[in-house]
Formats: sequence, structure tokens, C-alpha cells
Amino acid sequence: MSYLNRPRLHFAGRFEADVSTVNNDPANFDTARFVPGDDQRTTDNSKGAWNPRGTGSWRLITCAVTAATYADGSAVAASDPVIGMAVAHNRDRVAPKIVDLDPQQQLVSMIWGLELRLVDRSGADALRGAFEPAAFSDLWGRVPSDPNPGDFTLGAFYQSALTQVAWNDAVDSRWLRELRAAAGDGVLSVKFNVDGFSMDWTSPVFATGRIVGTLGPAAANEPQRFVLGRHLAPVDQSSPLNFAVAVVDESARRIVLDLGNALPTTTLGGPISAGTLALAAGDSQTAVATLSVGGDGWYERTAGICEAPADGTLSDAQLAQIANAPLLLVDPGNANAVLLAEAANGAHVRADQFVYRLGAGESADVALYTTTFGRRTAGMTVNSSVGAQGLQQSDGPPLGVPANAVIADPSPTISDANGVATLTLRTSDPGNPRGFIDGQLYAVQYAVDGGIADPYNFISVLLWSAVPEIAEPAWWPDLQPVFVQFGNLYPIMHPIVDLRSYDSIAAKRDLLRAVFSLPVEHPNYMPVTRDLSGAKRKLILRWLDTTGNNGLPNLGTPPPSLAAAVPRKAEAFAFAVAPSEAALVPNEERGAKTAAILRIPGLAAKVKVKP
Amino acid sequence: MILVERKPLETVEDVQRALQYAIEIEHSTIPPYLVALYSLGTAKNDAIREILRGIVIQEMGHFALAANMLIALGGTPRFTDPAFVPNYPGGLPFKIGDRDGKALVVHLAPFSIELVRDTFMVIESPEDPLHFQVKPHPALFAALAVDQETYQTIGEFYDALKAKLTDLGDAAFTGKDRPQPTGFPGDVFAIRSLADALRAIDVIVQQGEGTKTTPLAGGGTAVAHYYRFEQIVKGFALVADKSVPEGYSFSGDPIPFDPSGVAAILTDAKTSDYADGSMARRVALQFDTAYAGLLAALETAFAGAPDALTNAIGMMYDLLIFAQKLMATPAGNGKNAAPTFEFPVPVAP
Repeated sequence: MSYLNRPRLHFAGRFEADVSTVNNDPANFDTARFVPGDDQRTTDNSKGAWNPRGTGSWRLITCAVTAATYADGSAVAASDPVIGMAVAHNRDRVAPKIVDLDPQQQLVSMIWGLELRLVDRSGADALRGAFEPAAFSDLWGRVPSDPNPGDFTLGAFYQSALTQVAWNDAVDSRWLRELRAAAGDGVLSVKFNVDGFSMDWTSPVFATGRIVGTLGPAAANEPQRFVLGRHLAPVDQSSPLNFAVAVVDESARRIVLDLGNALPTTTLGGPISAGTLALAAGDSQTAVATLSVGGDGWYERTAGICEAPADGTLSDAQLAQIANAPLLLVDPGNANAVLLAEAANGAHVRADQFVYRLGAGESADVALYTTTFGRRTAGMTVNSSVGAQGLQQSDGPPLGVPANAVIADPSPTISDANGVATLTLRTSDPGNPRGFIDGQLYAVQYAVDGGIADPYNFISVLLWSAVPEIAEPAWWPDLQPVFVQFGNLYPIMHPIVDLRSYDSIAAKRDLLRAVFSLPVEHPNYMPVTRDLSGAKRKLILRWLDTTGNNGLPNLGTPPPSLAAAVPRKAEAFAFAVAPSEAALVPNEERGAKTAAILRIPGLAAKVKVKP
Repeated sequence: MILVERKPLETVEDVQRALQYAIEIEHSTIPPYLVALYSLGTAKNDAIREILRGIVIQEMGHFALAANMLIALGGTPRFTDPAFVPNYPGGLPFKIGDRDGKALVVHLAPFSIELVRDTFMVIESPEDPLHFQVKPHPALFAALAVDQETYQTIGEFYDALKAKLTDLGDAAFTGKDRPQPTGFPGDVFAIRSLADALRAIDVIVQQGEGTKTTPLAGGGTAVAHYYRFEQIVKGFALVADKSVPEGYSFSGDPIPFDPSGVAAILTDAKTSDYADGSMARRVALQFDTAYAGLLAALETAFAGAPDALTNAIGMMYDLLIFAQKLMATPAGNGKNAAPTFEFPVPVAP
């Protein structure tokens, strides 16, 4: 059960991703090389890149419910108060955060600390729930007509669960009552599609993009970050569509197909062309249902979700045919050419959680869901391998080495009676293979025989280096390198606490102790980027409690070469953009994610980003 | 002299109302102080900035102490009533500072010496300010006349509160064991008894006004707000001085003011001043939304969930970041945008 089930609602609006971009360039992590000015805005993705003073905040702005469907499939009338409700983020805590895994893996950016709310006209929360942190997936170039594609032409989706859901009984909405009844486990499923992002810092919509989404029921025993359903892939690199997923609702006798991140747009963040598509099962020339997609407002009203057949239901024979043959999305206007197809044998495997941050020696059990034509399948063999394949490659240090610091065990692994194959990631200290960037990145690839090729369907692992025991930690030499790196990379922090300065940190000791002690899911967690190992975090907390410097944290002795280089006073805040920055003309032709995609063999063409 | 409207004080409910009133008074000073502080940026005027920052933090502490007293007396502090936040420019709650039928109009304005002298010092004024020599500067401030029938100073208001609390005794502190947040900026402690409450009131009054005989706050070495502000006006720190009969004079370190360090921002900015669809409008709404969220988090924290303070403190820093973003955003006529402090958050037209 997921957002593809009923009752579901759709919403549309804009989102803000005020990402910080100094950390996009791996070279900026090198504190020995970093000099003042390296955090200034540039137009070529170097140094500070396009948004160096970003906060990492992720917000929903002007999002509202556009349409909804009751459990019986009927459309929700405007008289139900759910229609038009605002869809909002955190009310009484700081904004959620959007965070890359690593400068060398920016293609699985996660939202942390989001409390999603439906807000009625009086300003009251009709429902709210904690969005389980989730990464985007299926990043692709969505505006084929754009002559100069870059990050702003990309689209992607997020899917997750809402837990700790709170309902407001005072709101009289049949739709909300039906959702509550359908979500018997107390969990909801939510999907966001994002595109049309502005990187033009001279624009009032800078750092915002379009978001359309869907909210529906979930089941506790199902994956949260993908739909246990029928996964359709582009048949070849010439397909203009991206990955899609469908479920067959046997009781309603309908197919529910999510094309939310699968259809190209005519303009940046613009509409989807109106057209007709058809679904077939096995035989592309025999449609089981046709779909009308696109047109003005269609995307905002539906979030790209279609129920088929649009009028009527599937026959027993059709249901039987669909149950055991690959679903195909075809183009009736082009001799039923196949656009998207399920695996010929129906086999599919996907990890629910596909982004891991692990300390040296920690392990994680990954649940891999194996299905055949959307049904859980026991006894399927999943082969896996560990390396760097699929990670964003870059000019930075080599990835995936040393080879044995992450082991995926066992390989092969066989799915159990529930169709779940468990892969245990076992880790050991990778040492310091990247020098000035902590730890190492690994990619765990996994596959079932005959499954679709999906360059995003793998596990990204950031494995942190071990930290030696330090009895009496001091600023020099233990903490200074850690803090200066964060201070260099996040200039927005300087007016609050300049992490490059011992004095500034000592003055804000209580504040830092509080934010370094928060759970990682909290939107105020520090560091925002969540790329500090647990071992280093403990070291920081222990150091903040030391009193060796006249009651302040231990200072230690600076090496002569560095003593003079470190600012004692926090950096001044400037009220105006520096003239050198003001003269820059925004360049939206690139962006770190596009650059990253272009470096991944085989992916550049698949996602239609022109080199 | 800071004058507030006289209110009857007979029952525990009267005292609870008076404490909610105290919370609103303490809160109402924070937006104007913060805008002045924000406008100083971080590059220049270090000494003035530190004075303002220290005062704002103590005002936040007073707010929390008053709220804890209300909790201890069995009440529930409310910070999200639409009337909780004053409309600037305008009078402060309960006619603070009004005299002779003339309202004290408080603006959200960038820092200036006049703002400190004509507004901030009036807000913090004791009943009879002590006068200290400026060497070499002449005194600038004159005592104000009072209509004792309808108005009283904040100090008198708190004196009356102390008397009534003493009258009611420890038995009135029915909420003394309820959770009271203390991990808050300023000198904040929990109120578990009459003695705690009397001490809290002394902290609030003396940090603001000093005492009748000394400019120091609460017997320590820190100078009360009124005299801290006066230092900015005089341009010198107030220090002990045995060579003068008053015992103190403005003869300490210079407190210089460099006007070029003040941001050229709008005074009394409103979200509606910014063009629809502009970056300034967008950030102003984010500022107001964060401010509303901060008040909501504080209300939760003072309603039995002190852990929510972490959320509130996080949002205070968000306010600073939004304020800086506003102050770097052109708003026309050569001015940059400014923090709006509009509550409830204005609805987009």
C-alpha cells in the first residue's frame, strides 16, 4: 500500500532548496589549500559556486491541495475542506534540510527534519507527520527542447513515509476520515516530484522549483522509499520518458500508473504536452487501456498519476493477462512503439534504504525487496558487488578503495518467504584514502536475473574513518582541523559562530553542545551536512566539556606554521554583495549534479543531458 | 521615566494577569532592540553592539523569568495571541512610556544615537534616574514629570507585584513543581517559592533600571540597561570614580559610534512594502513565519515541554539569518529591506 492507493490527494506549488555550494567542490575540503575568497560565488561551479551562502534549508512554499480521490474512486468535491488546504513544512522548529551524501556523491541528496503538515484555512494543522529522511532518485534531464541543459532542467522524485502522524479531529473532512481508516498502521506514504529549479540568483524565485506530490496510505510492512509494484524502464536510450511505477488495484479492476517523474516538459517547469498513451501487457499491439496525459494544469491536478482504464474497468481476462506479462507503456500515435517496459520476466529488486552513513566497524542490514510482476517472490537470488560503479566520479580522490572496507554479505543472498533478501553491510576502517575528505565512498550494486537496468538502483555508502582515542582532546591539534573545514565550507554560519575560531566556539559552547547532541533527524542537527562521523561528534562533545583553558575548552599549542593564520574574531557580515560578485551573470548551463551525471559512464545519455 | 498603566492587584488571578502583562512588556522591547542590533552588522561599532546584545539577552531572560513565575502561580503563559506582538510603529503594551497624554511611539529602526536616547532610554528609565558626570561631556538627559494617579513606572509595577506576592505567600505557588524552562538566554531560573519570585523580580528590575542608589544591577558589577544605553549616548563607559561625589562617571573606555557601520535599511518595514513576487517580500514572509514559529515553540516550551526550547533557540538564529538576508536585499530608494516582525504572519494579497 502506498500513495498509489486510495484515498489519495495531490498537491502542487513550489519548494525552496537553499543548498550551500562551497562543499560541491572536493578541493574546498582541503584546509591547507583553502584561502579567503574560495567561498565566493562563481559562475563556473568552482570555489563557492552558485549559492555559497546557502543554509541547507528545504522548504515548501505556496503548496496547496489541488485534487483528491476518495476510497471508492470518486473525485473529492471542493466542499470537502481538504481541497485547497496548504501543504507546509515545520511550524515551530527550523526548516528541514537538504543534504548531499558527499562532495563525490551528490546524486542522492536527502531531506532531513521535515514535518509535513496539511493546514486548513484557519491555520490549524489538519494532519501532520514526520517525513522519514529520504533521498531523491531518478534524476534526469526533463526539458528535451532546452538547448543548454543543466541542473535547472533536471527532474527527480522523493518518496517516503510519514510516521508519528497526528490527526485533528476538529476538522470535518470525509477524505481525512477515509485516509485515517485506510492507514490502519498509522503510516502514510508521500511522493514529491521536483523540477524547474532556478539557479539564477538575480531572480526572486532563485533556489526554488516546482513541486507536485501525492499523499496516501501506507502499510508498516512495506518499503517506504519505493512502491512495491510494477517497475517500468525506458526500453532504450532513445525513449523520451523516464522510469515509472504502477500498481494493479485488483478490487477496483484498474491500473494506477505514476508518470510523475516520467514525462518530459515542454518548457522549464512548464506543462506536459497533451497526448494519448496506452498500456499493454506482453503484446505491445494489444492495448488493455488508454490514458490521456498532459495539458494545462493536468500535472498539478494529478501529480502525473493516471488510473486506467479512465472510464470502466479491466475484465477478468485482462487482469489475468496483466498478472503474468510485462506491463508496457506504448505510443498509439507511433505504431504502438514501446516507451517504457517492465522486465520481460517481471523480476525486480530494490533496496528500501539506499543511502548509508556508517562509522568504521559499524554494520547495516539492507532489506532488498524481490518481486515478480509486482508480487513478493520468495527464493530469488540477488547478486551483489561492492565498488565505485554508479557513484558520481570526479576529479577528486579515487573512490571505492581500499576494496575490502565494505563487504556485502552474503552474496548471493536469497529472498525469504516475504520476498525480502537481507544484505548485511560489514565495514572496517578504510584508513584515510581521500586525505582531506573523511572516509570513503562505496557503491553496492545488486541485481536479479533479468531485472531492468536502472543506474539509480544501487546503495551509496559513506564509510567514515576510525578516530583514535584521545585522552585529553584540545583545539590544537585535535579539533582545529575538523572545525576549520566546516567553517570554510559553510560561510553562512560565520555570523552565528565562526567555526574557524577557537574564541567564537568557546563563546558558544552551550549552543554547540546542544546542537551536536540532537538526533540526526532533527532539523537543527549539526553539522547540517550530516557528514561528520559519530566518532568525531563524540570527540567534539567531549572536548566541549573540557575546562583546561581557564574554564574554557582545552586550547593546546598551535604549530608555529598555523598559529598566525587562524582568525580570532568572527568574520564580519556584509550588507551588500561584493562588487566582484554583483558583476557576475548567472550561468545556469551547468551545476554540480549535471557535471556529476556527465561523468558517469552510461548515465549521461540515459538522462538526456547533452554534453 | 517609563510609565505603565496602573492595574488593580487583589487576587491570584490579578497577579497572573499582571505577569502575563509583564511578559508582554518584556517581549515588546525585543523587536526594536533587535532591529537596531541587526542593523549594526558585525564589521564596526563592536562596543555598541556588545551593549545591545547583552541587553537583548537579559530582556529574553526577563521574559522567561516572568513566564516561570506565572507557571509557578498556576497560570499558563500565552505568546501566540494575535495581540501579543505590538504593531510597530506604535505604543508598547499597557501604554509603557506614555505621559501627559502623549504616547511613546516605538519604531523598528536602524541604530542611531537618537533612537537610544529618545526611545530605548525612555523604555528603561528608572523613576528617578541617577545622574553622573560626563568628563568631558555635559549631561544630556533630564528627569521627566509624572502623573502618579494613572501611571506608574515599571519599577513601581514590580514593587506592587512583590507586595502582593508577599501578601499571598508560598501557598499561592500552586504550580511550583510544574516544568519550567531554564536553558534560555539570560539569567533564568525556576520559581519554586515566594523567595524565588522576589529574587526574579529584583533581577528584572535591577538589570533594567538599577537601584535607587546605584547604577549597578543586582549588586554585581554589571551596569543596568538604562545606564548601559546612556553610555552609548555619552560615548564613554560608566565606571566607578572616587573623585566625584556620585561615585561613578562616564570616564571609562570610549564607546565610539561610526555611522558608516549602520545598514541603510527601511524604518518600520512591512511585508506589504515589498513588491509582490520580489525577493524582499519572499524573505520578509520567511522572517515573519520563523518569528511566529519561534513564539509557538516558546509557548510549547513554557506549557510543560521545556525540550521545545531547543527548537525555539534554533529559530532565533534563523531570524538572524533572515534578517541579514533582508538587510542585504535592495528595497528601493537606496534602502535595503528590514526585518518586519509582523504577527500573525500577513496573508499574501
